[in-house]
Amino acid sequence: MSSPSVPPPGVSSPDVAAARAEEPQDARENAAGVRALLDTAFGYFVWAAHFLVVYIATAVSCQLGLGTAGARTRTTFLAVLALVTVAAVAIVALHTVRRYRRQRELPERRFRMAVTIGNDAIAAVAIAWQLLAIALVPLCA
Amino acid sequence: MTAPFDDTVTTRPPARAPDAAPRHLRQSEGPDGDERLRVAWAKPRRFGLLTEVNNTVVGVLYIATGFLFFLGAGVLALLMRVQLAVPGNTFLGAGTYNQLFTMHGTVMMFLCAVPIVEAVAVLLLPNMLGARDMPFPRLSAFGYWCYAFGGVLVFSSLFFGVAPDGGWFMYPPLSSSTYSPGLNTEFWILGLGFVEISAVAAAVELIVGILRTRAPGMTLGRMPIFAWYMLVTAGMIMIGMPMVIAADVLLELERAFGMPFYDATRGGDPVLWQHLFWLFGHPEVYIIFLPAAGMVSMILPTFTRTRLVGYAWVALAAISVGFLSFGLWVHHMYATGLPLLSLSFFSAASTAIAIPMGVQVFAWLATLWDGKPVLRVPLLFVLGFLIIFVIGGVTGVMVAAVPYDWQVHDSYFVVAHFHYVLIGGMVFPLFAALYYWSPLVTHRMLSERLGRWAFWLMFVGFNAAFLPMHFTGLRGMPRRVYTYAGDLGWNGLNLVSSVFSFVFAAGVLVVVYDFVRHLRTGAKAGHDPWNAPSLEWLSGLAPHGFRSLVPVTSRYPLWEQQELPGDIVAGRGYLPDAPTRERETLVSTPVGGVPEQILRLPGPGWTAFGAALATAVVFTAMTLRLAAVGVVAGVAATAAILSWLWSMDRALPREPADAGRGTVLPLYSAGSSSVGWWGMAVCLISDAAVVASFMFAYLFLWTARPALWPPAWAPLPGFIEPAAIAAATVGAWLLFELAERRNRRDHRLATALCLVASALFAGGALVMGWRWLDGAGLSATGHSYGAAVWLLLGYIALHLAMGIAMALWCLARLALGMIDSWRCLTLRICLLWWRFTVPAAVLTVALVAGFPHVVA
Amino acid sequence: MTRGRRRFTSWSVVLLAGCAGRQSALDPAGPAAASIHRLGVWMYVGATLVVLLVTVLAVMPFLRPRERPVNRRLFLWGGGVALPFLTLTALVPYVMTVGHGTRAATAPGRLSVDVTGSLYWWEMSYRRTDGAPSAISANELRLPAGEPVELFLRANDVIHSFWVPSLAGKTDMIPGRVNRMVIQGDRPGIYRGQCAEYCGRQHAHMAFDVIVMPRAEFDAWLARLARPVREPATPQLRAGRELFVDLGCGACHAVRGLTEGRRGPDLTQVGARRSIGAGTLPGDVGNIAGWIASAQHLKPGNAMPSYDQLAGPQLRALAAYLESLR
Repeated sequence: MSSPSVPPPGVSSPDVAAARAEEPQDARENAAGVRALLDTAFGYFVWAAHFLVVYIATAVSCQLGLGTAGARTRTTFLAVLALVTVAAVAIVALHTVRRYRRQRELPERRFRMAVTIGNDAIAAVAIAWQLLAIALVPLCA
Repeated sequence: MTAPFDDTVTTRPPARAPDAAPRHLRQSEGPDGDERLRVAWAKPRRFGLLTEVNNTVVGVLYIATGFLFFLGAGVLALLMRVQLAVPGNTFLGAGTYNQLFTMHGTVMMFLCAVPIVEAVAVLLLPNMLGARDMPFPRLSAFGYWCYAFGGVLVFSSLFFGVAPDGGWFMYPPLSSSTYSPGLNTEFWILGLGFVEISAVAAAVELIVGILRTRAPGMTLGRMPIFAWYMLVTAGMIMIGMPMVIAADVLLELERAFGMPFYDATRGGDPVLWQHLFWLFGHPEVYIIFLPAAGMVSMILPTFTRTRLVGYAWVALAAISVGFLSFGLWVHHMYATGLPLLSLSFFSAASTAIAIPMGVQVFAWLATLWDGKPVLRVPLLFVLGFLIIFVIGGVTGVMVAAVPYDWQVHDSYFVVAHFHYVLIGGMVFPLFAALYYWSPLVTHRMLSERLGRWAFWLMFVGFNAAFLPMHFTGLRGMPRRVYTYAGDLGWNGLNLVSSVFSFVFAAGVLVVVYDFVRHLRTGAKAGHDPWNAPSLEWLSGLAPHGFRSLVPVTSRYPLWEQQELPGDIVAGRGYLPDAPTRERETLVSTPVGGVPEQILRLPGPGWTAFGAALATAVVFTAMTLRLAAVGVVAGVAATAAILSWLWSMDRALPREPADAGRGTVLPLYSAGSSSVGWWGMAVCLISDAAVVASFMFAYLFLWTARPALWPPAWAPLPGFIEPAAIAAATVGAWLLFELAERRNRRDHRLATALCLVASALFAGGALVMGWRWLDGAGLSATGHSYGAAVWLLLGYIALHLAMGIAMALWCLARLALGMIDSWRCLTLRICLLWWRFTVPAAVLTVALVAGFPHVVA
Repeated sequence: MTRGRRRFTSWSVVLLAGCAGRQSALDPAGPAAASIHRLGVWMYVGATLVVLLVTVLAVMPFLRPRERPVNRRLFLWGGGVALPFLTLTALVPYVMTVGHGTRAATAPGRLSVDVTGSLYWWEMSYRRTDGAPSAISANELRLPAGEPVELFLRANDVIHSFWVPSLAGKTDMIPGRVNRMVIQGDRPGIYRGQCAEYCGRQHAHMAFDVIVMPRAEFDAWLARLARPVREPATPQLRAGRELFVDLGCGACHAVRGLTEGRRGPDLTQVGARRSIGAGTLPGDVGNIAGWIASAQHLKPGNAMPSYDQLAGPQLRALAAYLESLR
């Protein structure tokens, strides 16, 4: 984020033209704010994407007759699901590590970092638990 | 305790000292500022209830109306309990009973729970955040009036015996015109329509309000925790409500025009409704719970005299629940015969949500342990909430277990479970909130003694009525039966439930009595009777809120910023005056809370009320099939809304104004920092959810019958026409972009020409689309495939038509000199519409044109 | 292991004494219901402990003043994170195993029944292994004891849900779809099932009986069901049969060898059923007569008209004839 010494874009000078010129910067900061907010929930976006992928893949392939396919095909399918799941957990973990490295030195970011790491952790657990389903539940029963 | 700081600096030095700025609106020092504030925010002398748009009036009306519906739906529940007290009872007939349970659920969920929690936020949030009002006051008022008219209409259907009787979940085909030909279902769709309008309106308001109108220095990490909860809730409403709107639209299209989305005999699938409905319906439970949890998190610190333990933990738990709750919808569909593996994915996701729930509960417990709790009535209700809600939570884990749910689903066990969740999770906190915050509104205290009576009657009555229902359900009693045989072992349990439901009701009556009594004879409350830490207790809920807005440097400003109350009252903060002599509030940056702009707010007027009234008449006429009335009211409603829109983007002083504390801020912003632009952006997220729901419907219908969908007789779409349509749409958008660019340089003629060309391109896309579909000979009523194609393209056509209307709108304002390079918010917002429409249109056309080739 | 299980079972018997009933999930009579019930008991115990813990933690701060500051980490990490995480990591695999067991495939050659839900009644159609047409009955399901039976569930009009709490969890019957479930009754006896998905006005009166019987008895019964009904033996019964035909009852109801209507319940064995009107009334000759005369009064909104124009003797003859069908 900008340091206090930079002229604040939000506080416009009385000069109309100057205020207009500053406007794009204004927009950038707002967008950055929203991105920062959404970034704390990064884990859940991965969770949602992963969830949709495995759910839709299962539903569609069962409809298309995977239930009656050979054991090998079915095992392969489950293995792919498991791989996708592990990859999703890895992506979340990577995000956590990167945010931690970037923010641990900044005391004013502690709140944001805590929220980010917590969200990532819960999302990772929610994703990882899907492995139990993949391991224990037969396909298309 | 983590440091309450987050991001950036708290406030920024002004760009230039006010003295050096000769051309801005100055505010005068001294007591005149206070006087001017009062004049600007004065309530209208006549018809104040109808015309006032300020959150302190609308919020109170909102809560009062919701509470009336709570009482009404409660009476319905008591009638049902009388019927079920003994087996084979003839107190109510089957038809009446079915109307009662449908209305009980519908009213409690749609007309009571969601509106009340939003209403509490509308009333309190601006004051908690240090704002003077919500960013779009007329929108709140419009939402409220829509809700009030719609709610009264729906509820009154009971008195004519035509109330909805298909269950609050309204599953087709039971709700189809074949099996429910009457008006009953229409009333339900009507009611939902209104509530959706008001809910989405409030959500836009809350998101933009929370992110953009916080006090200076109030970073995200310093917001009152209730704001975090409401931010998450509003976000969930923005995504969740559109799903049920989509489901609703499909149902009405099927009922009114015979487009078969759910009719299995014509390629539809009833399960589609269940997906869309529960995609909304499950988050709905959390939409109701989260604000209540927010209230609890505000009340606890006050009565334990300590900070909330684990603020960051609780905030992240709220976020986590908001997201994970969207992964639970199949929770309600375990018995529909989906593959077990799919169900298990949901089971795992459902259980994951137990972690943030556990975090919240233990953060509250730790707060109790951390402080010196004072057992006043609000805290008593919070304790009741904790215990009841945890019981609802553990039975929630049970119903999330797939095989266990196969037994208890749609049995009285589930009735018990969700009453524990909703009464525990929402009603008890709400009563705590009532006892806690009503001194702020009425300036009098509710009775401590009556409050305790009410609590114990409610607590004992509730548990004795609903705990036995777990057993009733496990012993095999299904939900929604109007009577039962006497030899199944359910008699005693049902009688106990019935008797104690009246004890619970007696507790509610005590509160009603106490409330009415305290309005006249309650002890006078000081401005902060509980010695609470949050800002709203300083505003006194005056229409203008605060005398001035002082920078906030703590999460508990009233406890930790000694000089803050004095500074606020003395007008030493921001905006101690009304530089434009109208209602204003401060706009700040979304993360850091740095003041950015002074937002001029609309004052009292008939716009919101009139538009809502006309809309209500339109919906009613549609329900009752009164075509003539509908057309007249439709014209009136359109005119009312258009005149409202026309009044927006007003001419404002171009000089920045003195915002106090030596800061000069602009009064107008046309870009992405303006709240209007944000409001539109949030609405478009909702719209995106509708488009996604429609696409989901299309794809889902395929997965239901992959071999037969699209049907073999349906012609495969060509590629040339869709490509041309997409190209025309992109062209229309690019021309609109160009118009906006030209306007920046005040090239009025070029801007106008670009707008006209954009409208023509969009019109061309519409005509080509019509010819394409019409030429394909695809009937919208014969098969679900045709219906889905018409639906998707029809919705995009609606967007293109809106795009044309917007181009003409901008053209008119341009011609009248209401758009120029400075005052260009209207143009920017319309451009945002196009930036959404183009990807939506291209994706939709690609799906409709390409998907049949992929699966063929 | 076995001993542990036995002790567990006896515990649950004590815990849930008095929960017997012919429609009770707490009194399981089949493997699916039993495994779900076992899962339930574990969860009841866990849930009770959690609720007790929270209640104690919520009340204790009011009982004695505290001196030391609270251990926040213990609360947040221990109660908030570890408690749900550990219990659920243990519970989730158990839940999935139970679910797996209840959806297991049946051996080929077992009995299959097509069950169809219609507005407020059930049709049960037993597939014959010998290639003969299915034998149809209504509002009553008979099962050979100790064998898994495969059910194919359909709906004729709106969504219904097939639920016999004593034997297994429920499965929805959805128009346009065929759902499969496996059901097994271990103890011969009479159980009761009921529609569990709200299906309209008379959802409350859409029940059926499940009769679990030894294999030999079942085979004999099924063979009887498939045969045409016997000739009426007495003049009254003959008069009743004539009335049945003349009144047009056969347009909706099938009586094997006499009529073939499928719009209402098959009456080939109506006299042997324990209830009339899908669980509305106990099945006896008086109630059959009452049902014919005032079906709309007894179960308003069902598809059977009230034949209140029949004279007393006519009604008695018709009811006696139907009661003789068993």
